[in-house]
Formats: sequence, C-alpha cells, structure tokens
Amino acid sequence: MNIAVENAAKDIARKSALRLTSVLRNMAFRAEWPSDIIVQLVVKAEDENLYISYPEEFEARIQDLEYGTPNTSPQPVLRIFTARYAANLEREVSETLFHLMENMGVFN
Amino acid sequence: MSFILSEDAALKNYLQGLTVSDEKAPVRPVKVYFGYPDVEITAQTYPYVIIELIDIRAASERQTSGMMIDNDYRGTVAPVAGTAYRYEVPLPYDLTYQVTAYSRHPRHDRALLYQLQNKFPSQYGSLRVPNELNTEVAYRTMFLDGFLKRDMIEDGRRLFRTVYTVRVISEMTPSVAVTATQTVQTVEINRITTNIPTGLTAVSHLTQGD
Repeated sequence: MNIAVENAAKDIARKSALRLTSVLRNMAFRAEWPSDIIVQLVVKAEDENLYISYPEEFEARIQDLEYGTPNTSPQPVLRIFTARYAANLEREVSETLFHLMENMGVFN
Repeated sequence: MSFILSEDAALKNYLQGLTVSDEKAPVRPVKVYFGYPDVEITAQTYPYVIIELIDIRAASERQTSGMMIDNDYRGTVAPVAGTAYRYEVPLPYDLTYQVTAYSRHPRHDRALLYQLQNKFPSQYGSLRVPNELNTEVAYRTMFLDGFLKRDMIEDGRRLFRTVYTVRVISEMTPSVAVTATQTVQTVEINRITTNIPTGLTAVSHLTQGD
C-alpha cells in the first residue's frame, strides 16, 4: 500500500478510536458501571482495525457487569457498543480510505 | 401480540421442552424464565434458562419506504370483505437477547450445551413468530452473535453457566407506536360481580380520573 495512504488510514483509525473511547465510556456511565472501570475502557486502533481494550485485572468485574451473575441482571455495554458503532465505523474507515486512494489516482 | 411481546413469547416458547437427565431423574425438564426470578425459586429448580432482552436497535440500514396494502392490517384485524388497510412499510429492528443456562451438574451442563447449540445454530437460526390473529406465521432470522462459558464456584458449589447472545430480526409498524402511546380513556369492569367482601360496594363504571 502507498505509504501516504497507509499513514492516512492509520490517522483516520486513531482519530476514530479517540472519538469512540468517549462514546464507549459514556455508554458505560449510562449503564451505571463503576467509575473505576469506566476510565479503564479504551478503544484502540491497530493498523486499520479497532478493538476495545482494558487491563486484565478488570476482566472478571467487567464480565460480571456485561453478562450478569446468578444474582444480578446483565448491564451490557461492550456488546451493544460493538453492534452499534464498531461495525459502522469500520465501514466508515474503509470508505474514507477508498475515496482517498481514488483521489490519489491509485486505481488509474 | 405486538412488537417485542411477540418475540419474547416466541423465544420462550422456542426454548420449551429442553430436558436433562441424571441418576435421580431420567427426564428432568428445564424451566425457562424471563429476567431474574427470586433466588428461592431458582435454587430449587436447577437447571434453568433465563431470557433477557438486552438491546433494541433500529436497523436503519435495512429501512425502506413506501405503502403496503392488505386486508388484515398486518395480521392484527380480522379480515372483512371489501375492507383494505393501507400503512407505511414497517420499521426494521434488531432485538438482542441474552440467553443464559444455569446448572449444577456437569452432565446437565453438557446436555444443555448440546441442545442450545442446536437451537441457536450460528447464522442459520429462525424463530417462529405467529401474527396477532394467529392466522399466519413468520420465521424471523435469528443470529448467534456470541457464546461464552462462565462457570464459577458459588457458596462452595459448582455453578455451570453458558451465555448466548442472540439477535432476532424484527419490525415495527408505525401504527404500533401510535397505539402504544394512546391513553386509556375508560376502564370497563365486570358489573355482574358476586362474592363482594363485606364492607365494599360493587362499582358499575369507572372513567379516567375516578
């Protein structure tokens, strides 16, 4: 891939990740997740891929919130976030990248 | 039944008939609950399955526009000769459910795993949803979006948990939304009531604000 296009794609993904981290944390806040967990949630960009990241020591608590326990209902955030935003965003990144490549004459 | 209620009922109905077996009972039925019932109930009824509606998403990417015409108003009104109904194309939705299976016995856990994997076969699932008049049936596409095993120790005892995230394709007609926001104006009650407790008086008619 052309270096300029590659850098542009990474930049788009990085900016989108920042915006999505804010969206994700807002969703977790509205779902009444504890604040110490909310601040650990981060959407990261690696190449053109986006994924949710959090420290391993929070895994058990996050899964209890996300899927519930025998005595508590689930308060899903990660699954809803993925379904609503991540899929659309990957498409957004791909389309932006395509237009960028088209404008640079890559397909000529 | 209408949007959401129909899918709820259809999913619960779909999960009826699950059974497990062990040395004490050759056929042990698996109960299905909505939400989380009292601990006292579930403690006596392992294994069991819980259904939770966890997300309702308007699927705008599938939205089309236009008018539809039929003679039973999408299966909600009994057809009358010479009468037709005209309405907008329904709004597409994705309903996401969490289906969680709980059991204490590893054999029950495996038996439930097998049965539920067959119930939710990745992208090839379908859910039978009858219309309100019960005259026609739609098979809604049902996707298995996620599967998770979350076994744990609870009060010193093993608890096997399997979590399925299931997405059901649905739709809502605009008229349903209008109906749902209508205010009840009059409540009719049975005026031929017998066995009225001493000290109380039979009420013949109530209107809003009474």
